[in-house]
Amino acid sequence: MTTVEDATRTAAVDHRPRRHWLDSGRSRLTAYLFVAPVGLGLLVFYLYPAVATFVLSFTEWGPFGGNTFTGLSNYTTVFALDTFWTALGNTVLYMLIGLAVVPVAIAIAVLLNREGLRGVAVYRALYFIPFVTLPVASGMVWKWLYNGDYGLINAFLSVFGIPGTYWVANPGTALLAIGVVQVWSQVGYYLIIFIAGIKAIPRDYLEAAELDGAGPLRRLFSITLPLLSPSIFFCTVISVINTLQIFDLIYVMAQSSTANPAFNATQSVVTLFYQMAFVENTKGTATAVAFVLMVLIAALTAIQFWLQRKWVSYV
Amino acid sequence: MRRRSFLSACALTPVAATLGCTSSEPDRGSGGRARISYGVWDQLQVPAMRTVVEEFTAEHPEIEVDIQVTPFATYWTRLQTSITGGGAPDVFWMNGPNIRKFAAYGTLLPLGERLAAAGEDLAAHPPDLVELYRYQGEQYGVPKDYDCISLYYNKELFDAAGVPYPDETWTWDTVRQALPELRNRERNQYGISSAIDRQRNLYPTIFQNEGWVVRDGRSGFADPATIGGLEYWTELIEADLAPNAMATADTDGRSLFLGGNVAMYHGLPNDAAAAYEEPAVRERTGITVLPRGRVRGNVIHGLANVVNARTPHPDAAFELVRFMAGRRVGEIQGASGSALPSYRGTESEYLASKPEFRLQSFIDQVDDATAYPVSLNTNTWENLQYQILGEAWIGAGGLSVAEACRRLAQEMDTVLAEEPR
Repeated sequence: MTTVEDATRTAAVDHRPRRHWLDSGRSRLTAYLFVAPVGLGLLVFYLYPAVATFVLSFTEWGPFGGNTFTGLSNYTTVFALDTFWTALGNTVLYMLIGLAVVPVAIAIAVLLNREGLRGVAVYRALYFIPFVTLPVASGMVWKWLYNGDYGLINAFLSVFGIPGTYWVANPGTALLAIGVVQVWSQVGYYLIIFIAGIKAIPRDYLEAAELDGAGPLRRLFSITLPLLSPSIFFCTVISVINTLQIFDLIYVMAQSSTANPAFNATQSVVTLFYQMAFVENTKGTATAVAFVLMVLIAALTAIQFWLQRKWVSYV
Repeated sequence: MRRRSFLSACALTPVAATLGCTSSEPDRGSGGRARISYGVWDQLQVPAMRTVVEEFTAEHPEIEVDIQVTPFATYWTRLQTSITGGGAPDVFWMNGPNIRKFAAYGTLLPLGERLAAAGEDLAAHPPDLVELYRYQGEQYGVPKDYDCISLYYNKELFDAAGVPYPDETWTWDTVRQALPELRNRERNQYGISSAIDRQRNLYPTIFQNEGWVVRDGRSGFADPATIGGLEYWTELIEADLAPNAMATADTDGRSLFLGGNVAMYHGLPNDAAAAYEEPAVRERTGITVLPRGRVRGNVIHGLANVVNARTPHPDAAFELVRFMAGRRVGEIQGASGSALPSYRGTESEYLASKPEFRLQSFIDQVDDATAYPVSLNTNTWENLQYQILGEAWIGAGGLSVAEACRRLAQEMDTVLAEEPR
C-alpha cells in the first residue's frame, strides 16, 4: 500500500534532475579548463616548491647547485643554532603584537558603524590605503619617521620634552616599532571584514536588546562581539599566518645594508631563512628553517581550529 | 573578440609563456658575429662602460657586447642562480669577497694560459689586486679599478672649532685631541663617524694597529692587536665623541658628513662623487690620508673582470677582458671620474675629474695598504661581524668590544673550519 507521503517522496526523487549539466563529458572538460590555470598555478608555484623544499631540507646544497643527501643533519644544525631560537622567539613576539590588529580593527569598525556618521567611505578608504601600499614603500617611509636624529616622531615628542630614541636601531625598541607598523599596514583589511560582519548582524537583535535596557557596551559585548565571532576567528587565523611570515618590513626597516645593532633583536624566522638561503648560500639549512616554520604555522592554525569550537558561534 | 575566444585565449596564456621561455640557443648575431653579455652592478659606471664597449667593438667588429646592469643588492643572488640555471653573463664584475667561492666551484674560466699567450702580464695593476684574483696558482680575474680609504673632512666645521685641518702628520692621538673641540651637542654634531663599516672603518684601523682579519684559515679577531684597532672606535663612542651604531644605522656616516653632522669620516674614492655634486659641499670638503695608528695602514680592494666558465664564446669573452686590462680603458674610466682605474699611470685622468679634491691621497696610500681580507665563504663571516660587533658599538652598557671580538673569532673559526682546503 502506498501512502500519500511515500508517493510524494518517490515523485520528488523522480523529479530531481538526474544529471547536473556539468556531468556531461564536454561541459565537465570545459569546467576543468576553467579551473586549470589556477590549479596549474597552485601546483607549480605552491605545491611543487613546498614538496621540493621538504626534499631539499634533507640535502646540502653547494653554492652553485649540486646537492647531496645528508639526512636530518640540517635539522640538528638548525635546532642547535642560538640565532634560530632567537628568531623564533622574536617571531612569536611579532605574532602577538600583530594580533593587536583584531581589537583595533573591531574598535574602528564599531565606530564607523555608528548611526549618522558621515563620510564612512572616505574613512574606509583611508584605512585601506596602507594595506594596498607596497610594504617596502611604507617600510621606507616609517624608517624615516622613526629616524633618531631627523625623524618626525622624535621631533613631535621633543615638543613635549619627551626624549626619543633610535626606534629601529635600538635593540630594546626595534621589534615593537616594526610590529606597530605591521598592525598599521594590516588594519584596513581586517576593518573591511569587520564592517561587513557588523552589517550582517540583524538590527532586530540590537533593538530588542536596547528595549530590554542594554547599554551600548552591553550590546557590544553581548550581541555584536558574539555574532562577530566567525569574523574574529577568520581574522586571528589569517593574522597569525601572516605575521609568522613577517619579512619585508623587517628587511627594509632594520636589516638593509648598514650594520644595525638591533639586527639580532629584529630577526624573524623568515629573515633568518633569507639570510641563510640568499646571503650565506646555505640553502640546505635554510629549507630546514622554512619547513620548521611551515609545521609551526600548520600546528598553530590547527590549534586555533580546535579552539574555535569553544568560542565561535555560528548562528 | 567574442567572449569564448577571449576566455580560451586567457586559458592559453600560461602555456604560451612557458613555450616562449624555451629558446635558449646561444645568441649568434647575423653573419657569424659573437654576441656576449657583460654583467655590471653600478649604474654610475655604465656611461664609462658604454664608451669602453664602443671602442672595443670598433677594434673587434665581429663581437657584439650587451651591458647588463643588476643592482648590487641582488647581483650576487641572481648571478649564482643564473650560473646554476643558465643565462649568466659571459663576462662580469667580480669582487674580493666572492672570488674564491666562484673560483673554487669552477664557475670561472681560468685566464692564466690565455693571458700568457697574449703576452699580458698585468704588471701595470697593483700586485695586491692581481693577487686577490688568483686562486690556487691560477689567475681568474683582471683588475679593473681599485679603492682604498681617505679621510674626508669638513673645512667649515674645522674653521668654526679653530682646529687646523688634518694632514699626513695626524695620528690617532691628534684625532682624539681634536674631537672634543669638534663636538657640538646642540647641533648634534660629532667630530668623526665611527659607523660599523668594515671597509671604511674597521679594517683600516685594525691594520693601523698591526692587527689582522683572516690568515691560514684562522680568524684574527681574538688577537689583542686587532681588538686594539677596534677599540679606537668604541672608546670614542663611550666618550661621546662619536655617534654610536644606532645613530649610524639610522643615518650612515657618509650622509652624516654630507649633512654637516660629522666633521670627518673615512671614505672611498666613489664617495667623492656625492660630495662633489652639491657646490656648497664641494666647497667645504677636504680629503687627506688616514691618520696614523701604531703604523700607517689602509685596505685596498678593487673589482675585476672575470669570464663565465660556461660561456659559449670563450675567445670573444677573453678578448673583452684583455681589452679591459689595457691603458685605454683605464683612461676612459679615469676621465669619467666614476672609478679609480687600476692601470698604473691612468689615475691622472681621475685626479683631473675633480681638481678641487686632493684625490692623490688615495694613490699615495696604496703602499700603506693591506689587501682586502677574504677566504672561501667570506660573506658568511662578514655577516657575523655586524651581528656580533653591533652590541659593542652602542656605547655604555653594551657588550665590551674585547668580549664581542672573542665571540666573533670563535664563530668565524667555525665557519672557516668548514671551508674545503
